[in-house]
Amino acid sequence: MSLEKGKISSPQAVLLLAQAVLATAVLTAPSLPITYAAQDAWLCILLAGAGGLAISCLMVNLSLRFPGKTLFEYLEIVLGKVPGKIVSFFYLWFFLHIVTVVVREFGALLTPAFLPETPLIALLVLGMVPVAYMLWQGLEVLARTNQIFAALLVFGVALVVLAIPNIKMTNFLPVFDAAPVDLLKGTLAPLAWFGELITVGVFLPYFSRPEDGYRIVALAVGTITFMLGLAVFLAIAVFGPIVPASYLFPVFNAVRLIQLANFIERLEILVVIIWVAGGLLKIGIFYWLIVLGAAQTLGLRTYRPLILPVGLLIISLSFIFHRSTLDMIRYIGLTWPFHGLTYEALLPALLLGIAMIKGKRGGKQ
Amino acid sequence: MKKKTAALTAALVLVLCGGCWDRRELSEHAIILGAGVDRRPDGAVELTLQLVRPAAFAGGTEGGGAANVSLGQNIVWVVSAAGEDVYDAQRNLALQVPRHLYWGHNALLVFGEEMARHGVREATNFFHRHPQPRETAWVMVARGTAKKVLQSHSELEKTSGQAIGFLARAKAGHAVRFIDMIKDLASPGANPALTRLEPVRQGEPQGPGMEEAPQHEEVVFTGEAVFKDDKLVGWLDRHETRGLLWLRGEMKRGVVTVPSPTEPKKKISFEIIRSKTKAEPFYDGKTISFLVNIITEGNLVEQQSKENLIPPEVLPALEKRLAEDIEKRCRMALEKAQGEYGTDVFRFGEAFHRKYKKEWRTLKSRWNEEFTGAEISVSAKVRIRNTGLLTKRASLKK
Amino acid sequence: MKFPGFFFPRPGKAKKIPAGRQEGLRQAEAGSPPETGGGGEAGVPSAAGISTPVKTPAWKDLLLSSSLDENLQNLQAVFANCSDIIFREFNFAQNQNIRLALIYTDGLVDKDLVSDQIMKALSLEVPLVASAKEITRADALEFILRQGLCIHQVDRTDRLERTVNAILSGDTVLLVDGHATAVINGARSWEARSVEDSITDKVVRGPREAFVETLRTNTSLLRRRIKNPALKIETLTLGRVTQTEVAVAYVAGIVQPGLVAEIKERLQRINIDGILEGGQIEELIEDNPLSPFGSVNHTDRVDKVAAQLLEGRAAVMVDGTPYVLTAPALFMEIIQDPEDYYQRYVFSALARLTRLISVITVLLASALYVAIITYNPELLPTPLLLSLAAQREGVPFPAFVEVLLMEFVFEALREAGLRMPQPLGQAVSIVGALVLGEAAVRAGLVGAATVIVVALTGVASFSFIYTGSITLRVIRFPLIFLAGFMGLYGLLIGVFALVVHLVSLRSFGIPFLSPVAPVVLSDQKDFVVRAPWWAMRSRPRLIARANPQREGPGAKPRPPAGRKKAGR
Repeated sequence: MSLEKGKISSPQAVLLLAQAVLATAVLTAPSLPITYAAQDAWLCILLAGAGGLAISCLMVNLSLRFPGKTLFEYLEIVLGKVPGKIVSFFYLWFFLHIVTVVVREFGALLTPAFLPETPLIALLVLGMVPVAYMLWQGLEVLARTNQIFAALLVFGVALVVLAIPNIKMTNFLPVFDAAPVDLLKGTLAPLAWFGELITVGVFLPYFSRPEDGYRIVALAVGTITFMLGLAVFLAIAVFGPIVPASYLFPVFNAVRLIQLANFIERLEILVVIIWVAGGLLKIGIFYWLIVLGAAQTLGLRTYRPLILPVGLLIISLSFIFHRSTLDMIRYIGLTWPFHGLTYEALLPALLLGIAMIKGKRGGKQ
Repeated sequence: MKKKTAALTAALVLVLCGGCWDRRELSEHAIILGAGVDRRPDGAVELTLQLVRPAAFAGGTEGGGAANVSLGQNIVWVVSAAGEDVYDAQRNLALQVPRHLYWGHNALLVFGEEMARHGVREATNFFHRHPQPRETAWVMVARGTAKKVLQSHSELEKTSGQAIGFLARAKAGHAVRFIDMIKDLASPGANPALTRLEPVRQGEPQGPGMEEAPQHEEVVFTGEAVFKDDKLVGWLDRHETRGLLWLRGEMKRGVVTVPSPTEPKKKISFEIIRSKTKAEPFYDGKTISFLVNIITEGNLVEQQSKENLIPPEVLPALEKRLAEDIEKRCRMALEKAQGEYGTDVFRFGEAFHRKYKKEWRTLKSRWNEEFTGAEISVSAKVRIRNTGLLTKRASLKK
Repeated sequence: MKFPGFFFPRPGKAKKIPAGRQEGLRQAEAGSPPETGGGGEAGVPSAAGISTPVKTPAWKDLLLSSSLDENLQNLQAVFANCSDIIFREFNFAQNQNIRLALIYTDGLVDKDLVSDQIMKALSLEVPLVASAKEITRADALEFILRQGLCIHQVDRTDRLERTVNAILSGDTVLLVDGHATAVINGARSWEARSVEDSITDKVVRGPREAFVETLRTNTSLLRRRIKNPALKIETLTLGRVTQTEVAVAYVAGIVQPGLVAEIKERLQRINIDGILEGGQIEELIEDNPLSPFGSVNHTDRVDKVAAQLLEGRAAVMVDGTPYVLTAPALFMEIIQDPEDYYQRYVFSALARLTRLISVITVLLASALYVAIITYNPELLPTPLLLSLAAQREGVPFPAFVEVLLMEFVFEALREAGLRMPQPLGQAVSIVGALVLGEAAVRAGLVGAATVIVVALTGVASFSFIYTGSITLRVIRFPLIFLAGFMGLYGLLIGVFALVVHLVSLRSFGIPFLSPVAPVVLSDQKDFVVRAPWWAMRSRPRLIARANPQREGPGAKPRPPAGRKKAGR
């Protein structure tokens, strides 16, 4: 606790958790489910939302057993000192993996669509500077910055309203056309995104009202489901069930189509604004998790000295892990659901089991 | 701390100094307002671009008004080059054009007839994949070559590309955005139908000293190009296009002119305000049939005949006439599509999919053939809501 | 020195005070409470820095002696070569053996008052009133204080330093032979600017009075607004050489407990030779010294300061400065204007919105222009692109350079307009705006759109509070650079960094961006819109936590229920 003194209010916590998933998912989300489930992809999001709620409640339950302790701290209590530290490192590695994907996704829209000739590394270095500055200032600044940029999500909803002339509701018919297997396949990737909510395990001790944890994750899951659902809705309603599967960022392309009254057009810049702000914040959130977790695992007094090296690590790993955008897409489609859910569902469930057994024993003594 | 700050500053300066990769002044852009893709007999793709010469648009102090374009000054520059594919052709063009080709404002993509017959899929990907060209550009098919269409100019608008764009936006005819064509191509239950463009000698520029000005060719919409999958299979004329639009439910604006029920030689015109089409499929395992219901609302705008419109039986009779005309046009379009061309340009396959999702799985791969044999009955209903500012004709002697 | 931890967001950052200064501080704190009378001695950190030609550095610790001659000698030594100090010796009217001396600074005293009510009274008139009893040397002082002086404000001291300070502050000091006490008579009067219209915050509707350079006048202006003993004005003296009086004003009971102590503590930390303007104090006490945004606000409007005090803020008034500092400061004050609170609330909302848009325009317009023109022309509608392209055809400079150039021209014009002798100011702006802009466009050196954008930025920068606009004007340049090098992405990064920075700021413990982040719902009533007065029932929540209620319930006016409606 001494590492980070900030406290975040409940609304800030909801927005922070929502941003931790939404920022990148909102643009990339529709492609995969639509690939498998076509016009029923919205069902995948709902299913994934339900799964996400279960995962995050599990995590809250686990964390509430160790008040004031973050995931990295109570791992040592649950598993013992050395195994705990080892699992902590696995989690750090996992978060590092997530953040590299985020960094690459972040670049994947900007580079081709906005600055095709600018090297990605330049974009990333420039982008990481304010993020590092934000981390230097601590969790409260992160939460408040996030709160300000969360207002942009309202723009997102407004964009859907503006896209109404392009929307054809018949695109959703026939309903329940997809085979259950395909639905399940389409659900996996979004579910793994929802699973990113396990970050609540680290955030919870910094909530000003940790006892509201369940309500907070429920609201976060609700927000995410709504926004992702809206994204999938927009993609299908505008493009039909087939075309969006080929897009990297279907929502971006859907917004490009908005043309109203001959002057409300070319609005994709708004998407890019949401994307950049959200991307930086999501990078910031996971970046913070990594430096905090590393500092706690290593037993440092402050995480500030870690900011620069971890930042460099993130940028370089994002190039090492994913050779190209397609590499990353393949990773998200094939590897990520299993990789992610291992850390997001399997491990926490195991931990909870151990904690419950240990807790019972403690009760007997 | 100071060292860190210095290092950070140095890194930033380096990043920024190396910057400006994508910086390009407006005067370095060759702005494309229209593009055409033709297929040469040797199989090469020929790309034709209508480039704007911004100096001709000079507004403000020099030109004295943006609309003034002095005679004899070129407004656009039409260039073309061939290549293996569209982008290769574009690279070859870049060797001729001293500026960077800039697609961001291209409003028109024209496929030449040969290209269309060969299959447009070979030429669409660049326009979809590259971030600059916009999916909202109008896609059309030229009768003849696209080059010919682009090598034209408009009297009213600055460029013929813009003129076509405005024509399309006015929804006077049928116009398809690039993305809509892609959707039709991607859907197993639909085929694209694109506007046909033709340079036609029409209209006369007039002004002092211009009495002898020669008439020149302007590009106009003359009908519809019908595709089977991505290949052009035939044309629809203007009347059949109406039928197509009604069947697709895309009739936005238009006029229906029919003989008067009482005086067959005199005509009555009716303006469409809104129209709704519902195609309901029926499938018994063997035969497919569609029942298409069209409900159109509109105003009576012109009457050559003399009948008084007020008696209660007059309007229904007229409405019936109009409905029959609509049904006739639909049948004309259907005959062409089902009989001659064998392609479902009406998106009936999608309607079928919506109702029979299980059966669709087996039918979708050969939908066009199934469609050819489908029985389609059209029934139209017309509602005349207004008769303009008159009730009956005012110029008649009592 | 007990403050709630709230005021110490980063205790590690507290400035280290050198040992010597700490001692001075402790002494200052141990001193008697500050007085509102003539020049209190409390809070003087150390007078050791005053370099006078006198070679007796120990004079400040001296006590007065009972010998008038010795006192005069000492004082004359202190004031050697100070030609504006007047020494006047005379004899007491009733007992010619008692010698008196008046010492004052020429030009700082009310001469009529001094000659009529002190000199004349003591040297001529006293015998007429008090006839019965012989005044002895021993009871002379008491008699003079009780019956001899016709001065409202009289104080006494036995310390030489205090005496010297009093003389320099404009008080008239009376020394009585045989008494080791100086009588300090408040008879200050000097040439000062009279109270006039505010220069920086103009209003159409609302009081016009503005503060002036004289501290006493300023406190009186404030006191006339808040006639309540709860309005406290504590004084201390800052500046080793200038000995400037500084007053901290607040409304007890509304102000956040601890805020005043925090401000005083920060003020006492100041160790500087001179305070000539409040701006110096502002930079010496603010929370975020490296930030371009000030965490202390200032205004010269009396009503604004009064309103700020009523919202729970504290004010720092500095003698010689017509601007009063107020703290804590919030970013949103940039779009708040006193008139908002006096005009119809619907109009106020419009005005606030206009100012908010202006703020954004100042920050972003030119950077956005550069970014879009040079990186993302696809965001422009086609006709606009074509006409911009036509304008830029043949313009020799890149848009980025062009904008920087025009912004420089604009800044230079503004500066010229401010610094030129007043009658020329108009001419400069007309020459600059019309001739330069028009000629540059006609000559094809600059695109017309650039001139429009830069002019728009300029106009927008005048439409909200000047202090705020100068900060934003500075920040605009890095944003233009970022836009020039990385286009919209660079600009976005810049804005992101700016938001992070703003969010991280605090002013005296209050988050600088407060009603926005963290969101304070109840304070939205006075942000983009100004709620009608009957709905503004609470004070700003974070600033006035101690006493949040501003109005009683049921403030919304309505006609009495039973009244018959006339004029039907």
